[in-house]
Amino acid sequence: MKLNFEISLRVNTWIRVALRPIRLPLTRRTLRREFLEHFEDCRDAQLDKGLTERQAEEKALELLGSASGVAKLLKLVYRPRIYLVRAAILLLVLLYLLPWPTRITRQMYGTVYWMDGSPPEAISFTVEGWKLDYLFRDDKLNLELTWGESEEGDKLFQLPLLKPKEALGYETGGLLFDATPGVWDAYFGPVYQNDDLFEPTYTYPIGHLTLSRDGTSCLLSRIDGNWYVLAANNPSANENELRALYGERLENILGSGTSVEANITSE
Amino acid sequence: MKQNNNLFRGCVPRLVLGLLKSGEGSGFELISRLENRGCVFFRQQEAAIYPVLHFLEHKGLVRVCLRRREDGRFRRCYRLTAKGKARLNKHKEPQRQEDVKK
Repeated sequence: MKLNFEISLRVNTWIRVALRPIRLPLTRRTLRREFLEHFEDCRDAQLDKGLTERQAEEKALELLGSASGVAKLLKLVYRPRIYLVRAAILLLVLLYLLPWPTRITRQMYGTVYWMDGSPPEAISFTVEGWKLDYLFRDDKLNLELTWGESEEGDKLFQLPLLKPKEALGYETGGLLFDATPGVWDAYFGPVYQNDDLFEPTYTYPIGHLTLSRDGTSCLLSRIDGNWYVLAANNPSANENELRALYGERLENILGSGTSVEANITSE
Repeated sequence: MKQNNNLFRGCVPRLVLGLLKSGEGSGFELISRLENRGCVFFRQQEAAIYPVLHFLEHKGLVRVCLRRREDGRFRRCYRLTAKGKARLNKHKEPQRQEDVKK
């Protein structure tokens, strides 16, 4: 109990110290109320001395002094401009440092659209992670995508995704692809595969993955040249979305003149 | 401007702290106590005590509290904090030591 009390005292002290710079200046309302109270007390005292009400009020006002002089003194005490500037700076620093976290967790059962003409394959994938939105800085994204076969649930890939603004471009197969955010409304990152066949196990990059912002689909590229799109449920509905989302991208990847529709196989 | 600063630096804050040692009070009560002791420091401008009180409050030496009066209205009162009491005692100790030496 004693320890808890000490901790609470310390926390209280920290909070007070932290709040000190953002203390607001004395409000006019408080000041007016204080002067009014003083005036009333002073007037009552003068009335007790036997003065008439008017004389008492005049005397009380005289004793109170000039309001402008007191206002100047109060400015010296609180320095409201300094406090407002300090509060603004502190607010900006906090906004710069503190993110707005969003938990991203999705478990999906979808269909893989092989880009090399293979038939679609049912598969499940899980997206987990945190998205940190900053007001003045680049957003951070730490996602982990676990992709496994739907029946067995084996983990085939576990990949951390970079924040979108970090991925400005990547090179594969001698081609440089632009992944500038805004142009491409998706998350992008390298794909790693865990190799458990030999000891020690190691992870190596095998390609790149682009995950749509809603997390329902992703485009996966592999170094060996296979391209496929992983989509969530309802493949027929998703196919159009995928073409809209990845079509331009795929055309860039596969080269001009390549029909995207021909490469996205559907049932 | 210098006069204004002196209001917060010299003996005035200590004077107000000393007034609060005998108990909490509003600005008017503090001035009344002062006048009862024969000091007319705030006679010309009684409202000048409020900047001093706010200064002391800002320094954490006094604390504002609300007190209900007989007529049912609330009055802002000032009360010494532990820090204020410590400050007051700190100023008094050297004087006592000097008195002993004399």
